[in-house]
Amino acid sequence: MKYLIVNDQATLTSMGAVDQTFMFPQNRVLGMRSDSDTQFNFLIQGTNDVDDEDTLKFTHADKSAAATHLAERKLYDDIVSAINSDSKLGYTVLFDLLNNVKLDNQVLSGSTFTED
Amino acid sequence: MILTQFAQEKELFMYVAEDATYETGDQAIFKASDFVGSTCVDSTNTIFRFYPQDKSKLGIGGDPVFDTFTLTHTEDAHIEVMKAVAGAMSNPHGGFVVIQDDLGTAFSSDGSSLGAAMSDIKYSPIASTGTAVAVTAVTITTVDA
Repeated sequence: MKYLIVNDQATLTSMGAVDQTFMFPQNRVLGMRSDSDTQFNFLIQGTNDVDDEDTLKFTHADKSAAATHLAERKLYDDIVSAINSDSKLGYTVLFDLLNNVKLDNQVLSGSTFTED
Repeated sequence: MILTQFAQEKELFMYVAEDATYETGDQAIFKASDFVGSTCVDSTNTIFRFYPQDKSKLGIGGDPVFDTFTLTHTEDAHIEVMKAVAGAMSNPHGGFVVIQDDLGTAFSSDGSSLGAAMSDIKYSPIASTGTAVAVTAVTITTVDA
């Protein structure tokens, strides 16, 4: 089993509250769906409230613009690739605002984690 | 009531001990296959949640009462702690990993304290500052026999 990590805090001293930093097994992923022209929700089976879902919100370029209409689709591919990654480290960081880690087609600003 | 299931072949077991002396603190083993998720508690604590071994706590139709251990660590080191534990849990060969054992500071000849915190986990420094990361305590909750 591999594990996925996200962190939506950009400042070290602001770390440590709920809805910020999160690690979960790759097999708890439920799916992804559009939320707006620049964001979609990546849903995970709740890790505290298991009959609800935890939500990762991914931000991307505006898909309503012709030049970037593939942004959401490409980011789906990035995420699936990360989920199925055979990382020897045992984990894959999907995004980390503190350390400026993101997927290729992701916009870090506005990418968040919310636990239900 | 205890779950009547067995660990899968090549299961990864994680061991934690709460106190310097085994007679004082609790000890527990958690299975990597029961891992549910990990989040921050506050600036120096990260909680790791596992499906409960007591099936009366599974909360069928509702929410389970998770078995958990919480690591107390260097301030703001949540990501480094998560990465290190994930690395241990992902070993496909299974095995036994000491997350934290014997937080004692004095050797005891009766074997109740080895006089040093022990762990199979090596934590990387905080990436943005280079600050060394250490775990100084562990708290176990809800593991029931």
